Amino acid sequence: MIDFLLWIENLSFSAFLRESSSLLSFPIFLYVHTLGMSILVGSAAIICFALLGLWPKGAPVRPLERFYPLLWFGLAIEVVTGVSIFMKDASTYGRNPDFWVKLVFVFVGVALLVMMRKRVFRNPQIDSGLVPRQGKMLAWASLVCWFGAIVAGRLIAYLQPVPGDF
Amino acid sequence: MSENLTLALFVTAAVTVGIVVVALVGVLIDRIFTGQERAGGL
Repeated sequence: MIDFLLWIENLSFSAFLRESSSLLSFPIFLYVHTLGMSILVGSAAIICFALLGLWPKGAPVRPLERFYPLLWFGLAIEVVTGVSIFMKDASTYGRNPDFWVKLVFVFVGVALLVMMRKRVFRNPQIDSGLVPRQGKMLAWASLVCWFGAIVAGRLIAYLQPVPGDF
Repeated sequence: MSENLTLALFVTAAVTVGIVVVALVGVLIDRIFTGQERAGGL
């Protein structure tokens, strides 16, 4: 496993991200990763808040389903920039348990969004203005996952091993 | 309200909420770990 991670880390693209002092290397990837996170988590949060009742009374919730492509756009940005940043120090991030905790939060968060779309937005009950109890539970779980992903992602910078250690 | 305006409002609100949450978490964790060198998170 470590050999594979070191192989990734030694690719020329990884070395460019790690060693270049250009703003167009690691800094821009980290910036875009943060922006993508804002789009993904912000959109998910607003959909969850609406399902939990933070939404104008009488306004239908179902049209929010149209914003799912925005979520997937944010997720695509996260995947591309996240994989790139991982490649930069693959052997370090790959040994950091906190990184895997973050990934679990992200995978569960995405799964919950898919479940929310199938079980809440396609439920005829939602047209009457009532959000099913299951929908509220999914919304709470989704909020916890995305908050957990952000916290775990930030903690990667502090919990051992961090890039530069060996 | 036109569909485009709704979309614009949603995107603005979403990105604002996202940036605020990400920034607050970042500042809070940075404060907890004050003085410790950080190496960049994902």
